[in-house]
Amino acid sequence: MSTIRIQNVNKFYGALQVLKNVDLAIGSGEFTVLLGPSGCGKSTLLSAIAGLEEIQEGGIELGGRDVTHVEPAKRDIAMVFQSYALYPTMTVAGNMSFGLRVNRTPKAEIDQRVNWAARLLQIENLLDRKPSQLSGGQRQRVAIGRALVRKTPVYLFDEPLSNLDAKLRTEMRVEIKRLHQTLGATMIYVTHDQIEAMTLATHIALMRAGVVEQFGHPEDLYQRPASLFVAGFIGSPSMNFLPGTLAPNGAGVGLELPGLGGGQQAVDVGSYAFAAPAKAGEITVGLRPEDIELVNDGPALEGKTLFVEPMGADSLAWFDVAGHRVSVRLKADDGKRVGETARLAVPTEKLSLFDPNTENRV
Amino acid sequence: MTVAVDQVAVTSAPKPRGFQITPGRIGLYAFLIISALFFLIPLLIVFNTSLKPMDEIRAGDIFDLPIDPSFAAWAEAWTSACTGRNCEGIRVGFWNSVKILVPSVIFSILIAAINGYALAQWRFKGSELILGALMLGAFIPYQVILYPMVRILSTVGLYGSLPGIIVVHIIFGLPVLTLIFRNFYSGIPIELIKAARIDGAGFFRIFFSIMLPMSTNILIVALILQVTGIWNDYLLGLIFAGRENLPMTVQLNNIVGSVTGERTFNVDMAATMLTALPPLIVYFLSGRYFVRGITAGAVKG
Amino acid sequence: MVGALGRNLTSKAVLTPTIIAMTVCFYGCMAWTIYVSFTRSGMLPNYDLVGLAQYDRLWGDNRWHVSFANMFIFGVLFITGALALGTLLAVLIDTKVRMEGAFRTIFLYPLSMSFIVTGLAWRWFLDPTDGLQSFVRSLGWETFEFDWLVDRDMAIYTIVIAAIWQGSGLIMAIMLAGLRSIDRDVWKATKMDGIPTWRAYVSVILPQLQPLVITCVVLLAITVVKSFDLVVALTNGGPGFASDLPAKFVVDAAFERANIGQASAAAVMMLMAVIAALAPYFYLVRRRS
Repeated sequence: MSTIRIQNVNKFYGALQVLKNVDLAIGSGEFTVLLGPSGCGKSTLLSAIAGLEEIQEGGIELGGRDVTHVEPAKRDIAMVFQSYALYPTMTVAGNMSFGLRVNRTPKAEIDQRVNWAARLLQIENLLDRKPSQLSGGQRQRVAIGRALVRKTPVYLFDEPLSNLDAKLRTEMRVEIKRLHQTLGATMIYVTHDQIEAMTLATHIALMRAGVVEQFGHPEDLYQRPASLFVAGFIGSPSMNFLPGTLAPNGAGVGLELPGLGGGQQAVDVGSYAFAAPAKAGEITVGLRPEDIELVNDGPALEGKTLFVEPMGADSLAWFDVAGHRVSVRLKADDGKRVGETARLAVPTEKLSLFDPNTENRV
Repeated sequence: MTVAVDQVAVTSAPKPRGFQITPGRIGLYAFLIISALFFLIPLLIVFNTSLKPMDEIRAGDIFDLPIDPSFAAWAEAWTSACTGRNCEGIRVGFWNSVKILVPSVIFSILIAAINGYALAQWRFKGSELILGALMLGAFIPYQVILYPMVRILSTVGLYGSLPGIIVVHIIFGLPVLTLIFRNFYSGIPIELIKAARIDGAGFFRIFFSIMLPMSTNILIVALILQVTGIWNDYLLGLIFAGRENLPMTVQLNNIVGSVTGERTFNVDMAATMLTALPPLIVYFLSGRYFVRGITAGAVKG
Repeated sequence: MVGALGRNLTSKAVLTPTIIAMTVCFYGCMAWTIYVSFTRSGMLPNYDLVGLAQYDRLWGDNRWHVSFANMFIFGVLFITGALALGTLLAVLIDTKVRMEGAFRTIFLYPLSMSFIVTGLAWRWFLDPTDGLQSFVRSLGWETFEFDWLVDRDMAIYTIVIAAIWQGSGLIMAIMLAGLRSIDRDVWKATKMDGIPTWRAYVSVILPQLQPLVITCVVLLAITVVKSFDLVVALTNGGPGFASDLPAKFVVDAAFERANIGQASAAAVMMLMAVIAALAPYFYLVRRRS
């Protein structure tokens, strides 16, 4: 019973509003990632859930209990910090047990839990060391261990891997995923790294300027981004955007695109899942680089080849389509065979359409 | 002010490697040695004279080494040097200074540490104002405050008593000490406090279990500042301590100032050495912390 | 916010005694002294306002004139002297001398001692009948004269000497820390450009330490205004009141001559001196940030 309900939370720093009507329902045992660029309010939201920051409006429920005005220690949560925030004068064991000692947990119980967490994180041989004697990765494990011994139903992570080098980061990412599967606890994880978000999350809340732009499964955010911002933020290299014109006709919906060749005026996007009946007018078309295929004939965009970036497993080819840059992900071998011009097939089933004015998906 | 100077710590230069002897180097060492003599001579003369008997002093010069050095004058200064008619020695002032020093140092540092921690890590509306008021308070000359303070302490019955002088030292030490601790605690990452709060620790638990154990360095600096500052104080002791509790510095000046019969230079100088010794010992033991402590306190009063 | 309020309550409760002590003992007392300086107060405080009468009388007092003028003589000579000697010693020590630690220890130790001890040591050393003068005469230079301590016109300079003796070490320590914090590449650059070491110090290195120099000047200026113990032990303001300083003038007026009005007016003048010494500093700090 560790669902989390965040209801219409608003937070201000003076006149600046840092959280705007944030409303999330997080299921028990979910791994939710708060994702977004720096300054989007994701860490503030996490602090608000932890009770470290006051909110001016709205409410927070943990496991069905209203905790909006409850001290952090009484919320039944544990947290891992970006800088690890280990107590420098205490040993590893002292760091892990401090919270339990404050709460007067019996000694035997403390020892048992510390040993359990140490074994789980493979830091049993470090228990007598001081934080200054540990490497970055070891400190990270201790910081996680300090949270684990609390055995709370909810764990909060504030950019826990951002101070590690690339190799350790991958390693710890796997470790955290394993912990989530082992413990089955509810986890909320803040990061600005979309790879971390995509690999770890069961749900992602993508935030911008204090607003949750989209909340859903990682695939949803990737395949069906709710706005231009989400589409541009998730995915590397990011989605290609082309200006088009939508023209509904009797049978389907025509989409006119610049650079469309092969005697075609428009492609038909009648099968696209429109949120509301399609209206005629200007539209922004989003195409993932891996959804575009190079074809020899049929309706396609005509592009001049700019350059090809080999990336080992695959290649990324850049084309100029009527003055717009378009990237296409190709197999490594195909990348070598790209000529001076190419024909780019429009994946009518997999594209995203956005209203250029509201920037929202249509 | 303290922001700028309390980080002063002199690091050592790399060890010199076989410099050639040039006229410039000779001049440099000559100047350094002459300077060293300038700094050493006044105290060495006091020490030298304190080891001589009176007839040697009368017969010879200040630079003559004692023919038969003895600590007799030190013993006399300690047990029977006279202030006016009272001949109980400077030990009276020594013990008075100890009685003033110990509680003043302990309480001023404890209060300042908690205050600095509260100002640094538990900000609230008006905490900046308090900080500004503390900082300006550190610059007010004692003379502006002395007389009204005497009246306040008389009103509450503490004027001229041991608790009175202790309270005065605590209060006058607060601005600078609080700023030192506040600057130190501002440098500690706020996440540490957050982690402790999630662990369930409150204001005092965080202070005593986490902040205080991290404060060894700054505690040493504060300790040096307060021990030397309070031991060397003359003005506050003179005015607030009362006849029974005069600190060693005041008694020393009285001993030297009261002449009955022949002036006993050796005893006067031995008393001076005895008064100088405690802070000198602190200086030689504390090494690099000393400069930080003194610079931090230089703005006081 | 129950929790937040509770937290800040502890913080505020902890600070309350300090706030009260600061308000009453520093600002309250300061306000009292300023107010009393405008009253008729004599031996006892009297709360009838008489405008600037106390200041009129103060500035008509020859002893105050001497004290106030002495503060400037002492201030200018002590600050320049300590700054020059301290900086010079720091630069010399910085040139990789042998026994650096010993020199540093010697230059700094006077700082640990009471001004009373410093004053007495120098009083004996400068005493014409027992000290340096008689020593030099005994060496055969019968006409040697060094009697500043008992010379009306020169007594204030003995205070300058003793104060420089006590204070230069602090300047040396601060400046040396500054010199050691200079980027080593700057030194390499001056070597590449073939600039002599002394020239590098004067034109390149020391100008970078300007903020430290300002800090030092403020520290020394505050020492000047508060100098009391040193005068008491060294000259006791004498001969007569030739080497008196405002800090001693105020204490004497309040506790020996029992003239509260004069003591308060003189104390307010001291406060003005401190403000005058600090104002440029705070102006610079503010302008920089």
